[in-house]
Amino acid sequence: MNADVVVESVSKRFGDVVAVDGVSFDVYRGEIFTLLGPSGCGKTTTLRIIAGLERPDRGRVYIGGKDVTDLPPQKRDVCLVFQEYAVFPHMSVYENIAFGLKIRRISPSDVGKRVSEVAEVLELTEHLEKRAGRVGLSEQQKIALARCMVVEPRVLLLDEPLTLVDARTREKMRRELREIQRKIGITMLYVTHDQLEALMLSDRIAVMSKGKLVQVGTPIEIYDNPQSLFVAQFIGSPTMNFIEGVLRKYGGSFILESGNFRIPLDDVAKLYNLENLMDREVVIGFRPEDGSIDAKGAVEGSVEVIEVVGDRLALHVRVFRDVVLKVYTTIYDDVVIGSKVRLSVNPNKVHVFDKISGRKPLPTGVGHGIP
Amino acid sequence: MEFRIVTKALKYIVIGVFALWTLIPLAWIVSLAFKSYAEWRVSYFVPKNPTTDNFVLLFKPEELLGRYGVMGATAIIEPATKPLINSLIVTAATTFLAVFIGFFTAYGASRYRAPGPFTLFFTLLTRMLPPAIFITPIMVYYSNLGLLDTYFGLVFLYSAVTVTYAIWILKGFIDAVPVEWEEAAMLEGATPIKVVFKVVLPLVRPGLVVAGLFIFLLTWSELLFALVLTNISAVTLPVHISKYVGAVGQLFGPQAALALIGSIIPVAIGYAIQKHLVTGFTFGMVRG
Repeated sequence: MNADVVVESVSKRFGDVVAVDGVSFDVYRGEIFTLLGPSGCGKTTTLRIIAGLERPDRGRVYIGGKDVTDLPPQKRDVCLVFQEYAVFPHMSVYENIAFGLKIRRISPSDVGKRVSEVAEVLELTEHLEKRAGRVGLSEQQKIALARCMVVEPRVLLLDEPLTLVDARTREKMRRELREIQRKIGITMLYVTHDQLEALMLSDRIAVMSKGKLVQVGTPIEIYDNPQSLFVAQFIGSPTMNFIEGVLRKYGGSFILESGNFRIPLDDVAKLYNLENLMDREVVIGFRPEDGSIDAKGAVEGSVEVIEVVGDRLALHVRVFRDVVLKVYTTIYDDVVIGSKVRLSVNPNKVHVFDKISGRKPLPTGVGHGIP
Repeated sequence: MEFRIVTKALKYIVIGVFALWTLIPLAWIVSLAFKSYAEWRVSYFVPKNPTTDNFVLLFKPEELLGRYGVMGATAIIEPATKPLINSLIVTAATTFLAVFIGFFTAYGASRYRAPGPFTLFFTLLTRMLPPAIFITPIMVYYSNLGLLDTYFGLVFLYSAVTVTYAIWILKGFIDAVPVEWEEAAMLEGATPIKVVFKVVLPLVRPGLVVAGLFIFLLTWSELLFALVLTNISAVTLPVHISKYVGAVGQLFGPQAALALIGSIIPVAIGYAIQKHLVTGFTFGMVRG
């Protein structure tokens, strides 16, 4: 595959703060690649480095196979859609969209043609004569997108473009963005802190934390097989269930021990090489949809909260002093608040992490949902 | 209800007093400009025999001399046309130059970190010194450089001392322009210089108007520098007015007439750019 953007061990610090720390990744032609992470994780700085608005302290950036690290933004063949202040308020919508073309001294008739084409795609035709400061927020974001689309950059960069539009428009625009991207086949590098948006929109996601890239993969890989405690905690809504404890081995069987509370982990031990984590603090995690009520389940608890989620019930089950697990069950299950239930978890979907390093032990070779 | 009428009345009275306070000198000038010699030193407002002599004599120096005599070396030998034109040239050039340089300085100060917080403040320093302190050394320099009594000399000094105002006024306006607009323009292919001219400059136009008008007014009415640095060929309006002294003493009538002519120009300009002025003064408050 062709890499449109190559980021090679890029680092950037602002004063004492290391914003980006040795980040490397490739963005392939025609994909939507998302940088995902909480605020302050360095994702926007990484994007600005790719755009040429910041200089990296170390590392190189290649766009279309060309080293652009020392080139100014206007020579990089990229365009950036900002979160805010996306349009020039003193110009009409038409002038806004035409800006990049006029700068390039393209003949007025061609400008008109390009602008109306793009306006058509983004359904902005009826707004063209209006002042850009007077149209709604979601139209403004569309104008910003249109301004980038008319200049036909190799790579379209988007910095949380949907954060400020209202929830319903956001969902609609997310879908439209995806459709437009499919239609014109442009490479998109998207930055967001919204994990649902990333999962819905992306071909691939790079999760960032504290300036470092912690995992790159398809949305399914990221969701189903988080490689670190951070990713496991960050991805998923509702979040994963986590149980902390010490990993012990008694008579050949693995056990998670937390005070008097013990969970057998033999099924999980078949999938991971747990020997290295022996007698260390670990965190195990599983998603609510991978657990279930099961009379033969390994742990027992009492139901504390019942939420109705469509045709399912979300049960909050206290299994230990400070351990409350969330599992889903059908509305036909006979549970009330205070019911004693036993839980079992699909062992293929249990994740084990070293509590200190946050890392996952190596798999034993048996499939673990890795495609 | 009654209370409201009282407060309203009070408001108008206060405004009226202030209006009167500021307009009295102007009214006095209007009155003087149409008075004949006999009435210059009397205290009533409305001239008994209104005359346009004062205006006519401004442009006929020989007749003026004949009527009021000569007093020392400050004799009026030129019609008032030349100083009017001089003032227009000097003020226009100063305004343009100060706003132009001020804009780019302010842009730099706003967008890039000036070395140390004191640098920009330093530009105010020239305005903190009383001009009388540095006008003497400047006159000596100018004399050596051959800049005395030239347009260039005046414009050079005027724009140097007024550029400070342009910087400070425009910096506020430029600060209010989100840097994202510039970055977006850059990513769409604009070079830094195009970004400044196509994005920043149009957005701060109200600021340019405010700074320009302010500097225009300051320069138009400046007396001290021009008095020291000019003599014949680059004499400005305020200096020329001060020269109307005859054997009979101060020639209040022609002075008032010329002051009146001189004040019409800024008033006309202010009126013409009124619309921009309002946006200028409210800029920064309307941004949501």
